[in-house]
Amino acid sequence: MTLDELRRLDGAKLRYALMDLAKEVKGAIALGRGDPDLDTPEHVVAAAVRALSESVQPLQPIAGMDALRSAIARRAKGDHGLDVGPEQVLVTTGGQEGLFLVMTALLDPGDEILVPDPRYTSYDQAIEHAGGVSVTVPTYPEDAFDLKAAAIEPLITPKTKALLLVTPSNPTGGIITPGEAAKIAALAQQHGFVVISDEIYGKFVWPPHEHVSIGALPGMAEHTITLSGFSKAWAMTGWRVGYVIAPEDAIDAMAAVKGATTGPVSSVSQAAALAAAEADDACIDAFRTVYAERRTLMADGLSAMGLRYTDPRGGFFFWADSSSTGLRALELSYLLLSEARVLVFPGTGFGASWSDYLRITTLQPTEVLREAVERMTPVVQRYAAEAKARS
Amino acid sequence: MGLAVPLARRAAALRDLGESARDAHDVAVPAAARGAAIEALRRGETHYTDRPGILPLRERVADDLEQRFGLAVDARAGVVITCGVTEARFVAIQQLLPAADGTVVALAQPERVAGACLVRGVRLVGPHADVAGNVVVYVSGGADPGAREAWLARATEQRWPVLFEVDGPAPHPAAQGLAEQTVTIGGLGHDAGLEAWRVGFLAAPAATAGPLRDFKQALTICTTNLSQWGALGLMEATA
Repeated sequence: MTLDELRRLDGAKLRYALMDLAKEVKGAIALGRGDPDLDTPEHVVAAAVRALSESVQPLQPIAGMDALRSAIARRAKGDHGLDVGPEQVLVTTGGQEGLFLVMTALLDPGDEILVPDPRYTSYDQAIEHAGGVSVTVPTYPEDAFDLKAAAIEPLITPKTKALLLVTPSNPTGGIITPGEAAKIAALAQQHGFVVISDEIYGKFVWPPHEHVSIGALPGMAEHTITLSGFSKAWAMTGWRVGYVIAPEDAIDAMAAVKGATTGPVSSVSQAAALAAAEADDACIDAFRTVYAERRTLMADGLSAMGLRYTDPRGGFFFWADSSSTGLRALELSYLLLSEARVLVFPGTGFGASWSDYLRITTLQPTEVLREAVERMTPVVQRYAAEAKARS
Repeated sequence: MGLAVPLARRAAALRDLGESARDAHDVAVPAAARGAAIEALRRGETHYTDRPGILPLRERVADDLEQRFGLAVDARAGVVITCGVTEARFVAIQQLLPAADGTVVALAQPERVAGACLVRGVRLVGPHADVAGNVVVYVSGGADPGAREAWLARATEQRWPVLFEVDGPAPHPAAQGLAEQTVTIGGLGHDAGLEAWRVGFLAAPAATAGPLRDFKQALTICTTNLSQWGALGLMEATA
């Protein structure tokens, strides 16, 4: 695919086209997809092997294995203060299906949903399929891309059915702070909309910041649908286990939709997820140490290259400004792939207006990440020097 | 405690529809499938797969369709591995008809596609209905042969898409010259105790399969990694 052909794409299509292109580049280092390179913890794999030793494996209930729903409810309370029972949990085929079910169950055609800009554009596809209308809420580099209540309030209309929060944010690493969470909660209760809180990266918020689950705030239980899953925290992307936490009537409705979309989640995957949920967080703590080290490595690397970025407050991504190179991010990402053999995603994969930003993941082993930085540096610096000479 | 805002109308209707039909088979999962899944885990197959599914499984599905029905399908561009046949049905119906504008004619087992039709906002009717406009003909095992022949003839004449579910010995619509307008779907290992692993497929000419693959990606990204390897192990053992 040529650069001109890529220019005609955006959102998920652009991201997948670049991934396909990277497959053709020998020795390319992928810093694109949000797939943790770390292995699923051994005790989780062992639980799956035990499940596989059972000769008969019955189909599980649509809403999920009872024991898993209970374990998720216990964790929600223990980890994030969400006081819920198992009947308020729906096990989904990854977090992605969860967001599709939420939008399908919640939105009637013409309902408005406030969404952060930039964002992972799969939300848009789910909203569009449900007939909803996305209304973008701006976020700014000077706020570290944190979502602010002041940016939300002027966009609320009688048609506003929901607000999408993604904390930490994909792609920016912005979060919702306790103070902003309280203000947003007040808006939701005052105007009667639902907050859909995607917390899939919630286990990876970098100190001194802390993760906030808005559903745990006073009066927010009936106003919140929380999305999360096992893919990121336990490095389980291929197992496809996510979950939704919501009031029981919404869970019943989403389970009915799920009966039509995919049916129950794989029984073996649920057995593995149960082992993950029931164990302590030692493996996640170990992952966090690894990711923190990589975060430092990439931050230092980007600084040395001369690419501006805001320190991500959570998650696995850097959202870096390409403008010092004099190139649009799409062009720079194309050149980085062809000249440095490193895949990064241009910002237009996350919203049309982000043509000067790159999303760069840290989801490669440290030595590979270091190699990627070493390959990127001369390319970025050369184009930056050329841009400076022209100006 | 309930949600503070009303749910979508379709959600209430789906809840009234009840849980989808579950044709669970409490039969033993063959050792070949379990062994292949365990081996996959030992290799570290715990990450996302390619969104259309692992290529060896897509190739096996294409081979199987060729052997059973003489149907030529491009494994790379025309086969998508899904989370069970449920997802295959759902994806096909969401993509083959415009939202809230069309009809699915189910020649048998309408309950299998009722939820997907409701989400899409399209009409679901039986073989005796009068239809016009955007139509998909859903053909599965158990369809009356006479009705099947008549509806496939109409599909040929009207260029309506056909959704064919591999289910028993029924012939493929390709036998009536409908290969180019048929989306073929099925479960993998469902009769062999693998239904709980949630692996199915859809197959179509490449131009049709592309949007189906994109929509599947938006819905679930990919199908469970180890389930795909387990299904492949089963298919290889029984080939």
